[in-house]
Amino acid sequence: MTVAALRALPGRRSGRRLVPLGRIAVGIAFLALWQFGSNVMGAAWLPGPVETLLRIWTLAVSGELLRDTLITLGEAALGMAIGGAAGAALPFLLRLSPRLMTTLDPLISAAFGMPKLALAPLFILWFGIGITTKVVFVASIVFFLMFYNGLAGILSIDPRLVAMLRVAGASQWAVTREIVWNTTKPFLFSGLKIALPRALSGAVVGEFIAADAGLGWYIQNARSLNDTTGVVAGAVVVTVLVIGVNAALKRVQARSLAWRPVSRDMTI
Amino acid sequence: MNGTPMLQVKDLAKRFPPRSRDEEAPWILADLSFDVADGEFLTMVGPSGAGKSTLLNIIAQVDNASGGEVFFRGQLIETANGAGLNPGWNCQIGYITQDDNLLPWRTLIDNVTFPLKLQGRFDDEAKRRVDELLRVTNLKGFEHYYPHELSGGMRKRASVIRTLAYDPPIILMDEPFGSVDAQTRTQLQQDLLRLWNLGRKTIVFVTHDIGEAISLGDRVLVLSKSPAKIVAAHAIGIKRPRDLGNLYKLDGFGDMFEAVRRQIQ
Repeated sequence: MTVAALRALPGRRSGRRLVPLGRIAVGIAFLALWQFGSNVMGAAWLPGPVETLLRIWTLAVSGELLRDTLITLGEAALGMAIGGAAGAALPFLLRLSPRLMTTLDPLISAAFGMPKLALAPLFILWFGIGITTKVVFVASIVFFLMFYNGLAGILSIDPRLVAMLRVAGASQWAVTREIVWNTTKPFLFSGLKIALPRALSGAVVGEFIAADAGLGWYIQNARSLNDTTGVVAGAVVVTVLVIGVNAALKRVQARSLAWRPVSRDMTI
Repeated sequence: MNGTPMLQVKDLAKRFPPRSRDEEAPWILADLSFDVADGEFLTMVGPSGAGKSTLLNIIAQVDNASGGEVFFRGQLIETANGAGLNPGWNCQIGYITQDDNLLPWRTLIDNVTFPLKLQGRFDDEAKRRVDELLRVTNLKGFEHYYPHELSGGMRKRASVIRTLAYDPPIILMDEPFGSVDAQTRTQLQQDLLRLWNLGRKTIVFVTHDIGEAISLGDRVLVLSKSPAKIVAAHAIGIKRPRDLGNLYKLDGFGDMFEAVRRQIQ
């Protein structure tokens, strides 16, 4: 049977159309369950979807939503830019010196194992309660996620490809640009897939501890006022942000890794 | 043409560092010497593990020798205690290995033209040559496919013309058709001979397949088990162009095959 004939098979066609319908159905079921839970437990314990949406709307109109979102996003983005970039760059440097890699390995493992939340009081002492603390906090989390993924990429470089390119006249720099970079790229995307949501949640958690603005601060503030609607509304906004960031990443990834046999349909 | 051989290998020896301190590492190559003439298609046949790949790695300067010398056009390019490796000797020595080693993130045409672009030689003449090579190997129409979208035979042909495209004076081939089925293999061998007829390059083709060594070469060197030594040399008189499908019917092919088989053992 030809590929065209396979594609025209009824099961496959309708199967493809069923996916978005299924997603909508799951969404509706979730909202219904949420509303049901709210009815059973009482709105003070679990505010329903309607109240939550109304609260988000109020926050949007007043401008608070935009302000807090921008602050949290800014902290996450800066933390990613500093910690993520450093973590992604370090494996490329370590590749040049296996001895340095062996020397640093236990140090990095130990630093990775240390719970960053336990260091929060120190961060506050050093950097105050402004956005710097949150940026450092986020950076200290995402650094390791990007580092270990980048390192896995560097370690998976095929030495045969390197030899082939060198024989064909490639300089050390050309090898890095062509083979090291292209081999590591998919691993860095896997790193981003984990690190970007962690950066956002890191910023929010950082704001729980010490802040005067941001979505985490808003949630924390609502909690102290027993404003459960505010807590849920904040959590929903953060979730929407994570989904948005993931969708954007998926698009960039699909374009930049189009050569891979799996990249079109399968993502983890 | 002057009398200097294209490639001279003199007393080449190789052993890898020992695994443990009290163990003597075995010699993979010992006192191996041979010449390759300009424009010659030399095949070397030997048992698996004879050190054939090691030999080509040293000539291509992907690995260094433990003893002996290699000369390219009369110039000493490798000694055991020489300077750092210069893989491919400034793009003068092409090397086609058992794996196709195509870059998976580049399309067929990008893979084939990549060395030319690296060397800053992707001019109109090179474009014409690439086009001709694609045509001869039936790869036209597949230029924009990624390696994983091509068959094993197509990837092999792509890897062969990638080296032919930048036109090094000598090409080393390490069982390039080892991993494909018998039918594809014959087709690839026929393609290779057709390509070779276009330019009559110097080729050192290493294989463990006796039939392949006799079918392709002007001369066959028979290698012993490790450490590899040359135990016999046969000039192959079969006229070109050769029809590989019918070679075995020729007088003397069977005798030659039998002689080489005995020498290998």
